[in-house]
Amino acid sequence: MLKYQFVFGIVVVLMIIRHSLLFKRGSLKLRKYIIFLIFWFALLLAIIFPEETNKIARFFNITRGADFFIYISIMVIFYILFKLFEKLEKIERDLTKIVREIALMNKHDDTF
Amino acid sequence: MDATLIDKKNIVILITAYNEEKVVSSVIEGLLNRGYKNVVIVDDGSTDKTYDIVKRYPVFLLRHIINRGKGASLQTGTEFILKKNFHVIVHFDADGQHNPDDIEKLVEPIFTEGVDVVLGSRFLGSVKNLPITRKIILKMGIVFCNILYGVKLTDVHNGLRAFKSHVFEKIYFTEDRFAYASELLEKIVKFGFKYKEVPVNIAYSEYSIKKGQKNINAINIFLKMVMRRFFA
Repeated sequence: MLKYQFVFGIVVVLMIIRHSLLFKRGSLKLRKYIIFLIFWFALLLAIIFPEETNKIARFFNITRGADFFIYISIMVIFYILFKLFEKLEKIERDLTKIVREIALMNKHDDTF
Repeated sequence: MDATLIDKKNIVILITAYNEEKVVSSVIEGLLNRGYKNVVIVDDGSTDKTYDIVKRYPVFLLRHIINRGKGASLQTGTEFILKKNFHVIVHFDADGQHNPDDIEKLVEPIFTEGVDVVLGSRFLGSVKNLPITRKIILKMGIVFCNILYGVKLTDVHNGLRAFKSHVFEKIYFTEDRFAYASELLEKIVKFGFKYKEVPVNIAYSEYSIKKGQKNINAINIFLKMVMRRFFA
């Protein structure tokens, strides 16, 4: 086993443990837990058998397995970024609604 | 113009203020002295003495506990006003750039021509001390808005405007910050409101330039406009 396989493998195992604990505590829903497990186990397999990823990559007409993973990662990161942006916008809108309600409830002096 | 046509009792002035302790008194006094007794001020989470200063005046005061932006403040003020019975709503800035004498010109087409929305134009009227960079950005914004919304306006981000209050039964600002101005144009066109531009006088001061929106914010507004137009 190469050094990078050892280090990356440990990180992935730690992530699997972390997500399992979150699921056990009820902080993570079953659907998301399964998605995370599939992702981490796929990554673990790719780390242990890097030459196998070349086969998958060639299936998509990409020469190297590492490149294939980089492309996938970029897509996943953009998707997460988009989802976070969407969530942030919703939180901003909700915050404004709360602030507005408070303002309308606590109006100062009625001169009309 | 026959001033008797304009009934000031039916007009409400809506001002949003954020950290305007230095000028807000003179802005309020300018309006009250000209007979505009219905003034609603939304303090947008000011951290200075704006709220305490405004409290001394016979105006209606609402307060955002934290800063939410100009669009959000206008929407808050509008929701309050709609519960009252006013015919005309005027947007007026708290930083002293606007001239209260322009309000009569602004509301006249609503009373006499049945126009729904009257937009103040500094480029039809006069503008003092406008920095060249701001002028370039404003002009680019005008060209862009005219193309994007299919309108023919001479000023698009001027905070001095008047509306028949019923307009806000349809227009709701979802943009909390300065992009609300583009959203307003978009919705005026979308709902087919009758609009008109009138010349107004804007006087920039060192204070108002410092307080106003940053030039770089134009990029953010531009992106929001494009997103709203093509993806909303």
